[in-house]
Amino acid sequence: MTAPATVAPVPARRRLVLWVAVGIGSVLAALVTVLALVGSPPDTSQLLGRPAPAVAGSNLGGGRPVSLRSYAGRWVLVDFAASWCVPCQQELPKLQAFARSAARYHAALITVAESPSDGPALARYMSAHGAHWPAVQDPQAVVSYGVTGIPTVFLVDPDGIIVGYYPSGVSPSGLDSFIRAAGASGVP
Amino acid sequence: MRGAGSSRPPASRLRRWAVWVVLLVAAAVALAVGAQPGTVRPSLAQRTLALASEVRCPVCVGETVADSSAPAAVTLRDDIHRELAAGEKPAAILAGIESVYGPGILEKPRATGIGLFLWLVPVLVVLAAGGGLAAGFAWWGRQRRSDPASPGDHDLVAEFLRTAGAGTPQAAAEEGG
Repeated sequence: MTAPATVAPVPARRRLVLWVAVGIGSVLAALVTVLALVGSPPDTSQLLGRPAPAVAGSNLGGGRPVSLRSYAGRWVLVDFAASWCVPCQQELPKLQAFARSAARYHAALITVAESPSDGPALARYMSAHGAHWPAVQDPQAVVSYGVTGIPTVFLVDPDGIIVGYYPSGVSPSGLDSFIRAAGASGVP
Repeated sequence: MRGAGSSRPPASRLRRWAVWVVLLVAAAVALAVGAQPGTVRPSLAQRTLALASEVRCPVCVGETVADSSAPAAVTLRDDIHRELAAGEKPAAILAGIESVYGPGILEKPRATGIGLFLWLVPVLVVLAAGGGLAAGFAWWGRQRRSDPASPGDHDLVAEFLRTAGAGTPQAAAEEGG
């Protein structure tokens, strides 16, 4: 018996499969590239260079109501924190160091409680650890500043413009040199 | 040999296309009717929830502002409610939130820049898959039609007929006669 004749469209089929595979691979590679580019949020804020939103509320530590507006003409560090947040607790000594050196250039600090229910506990924690600057609970400020995690710190210049955003901790010496440099370039 | 499809009379082919066209038109009309908003105007609370469900909770994972009970989400929900009540347009409210948090706060990416790419990928994949299937079927059909029997095939059939015919009574009678 004669062997059956073989019709061989295999090369064409293989070419088609190859092109399909190349196409799918290209789409996947493009997707991976795009996701790698947009995957991690940048360490920046939409608010940099824009007027600082209002911060206001009663001083959780007692005393007069606190308002960012009342600090016009001064450098202000606006710190969003919570009593239960370990990174916030670790950052407190750095903020205290800044507060000590900041007295030289008349700067100020305001801590905003990330959650209204945490306000009293945060005030107690700050007082117990010798942090004696104003603390407020202002849920609207948390949203107005676009806070997505704590601790988050913003630096507001004497004109009320946000010039610094520190989503993963501040460096007191860095803040000092930043403010000194700004002062040297004419900013009060 | 020609495929069965190509031997179909033109009237039959026309009928087949007409059925597809009617089906497509019916589907498009059903979609258009279904996508129309109802005649009852949604309440302020419903509009607030609908808009809040387009905003991601800024301090949680996998939740929208409509679902989350985090303080920031509650504040954002209240803001949306207040602004809608004040007559602000939903697009303007979303733009305001985006201007603070960035485009990542929106559940649906905007159809610009990389967002446009994300919108287009599924469409392109479906088109490519459809095109691939159509091309594959067309190629398959061509292969079936354009493979004439080779001389080897003819020899094979002739040999089969010879051997099969040799055992029949008619063949025996022809041999004896």
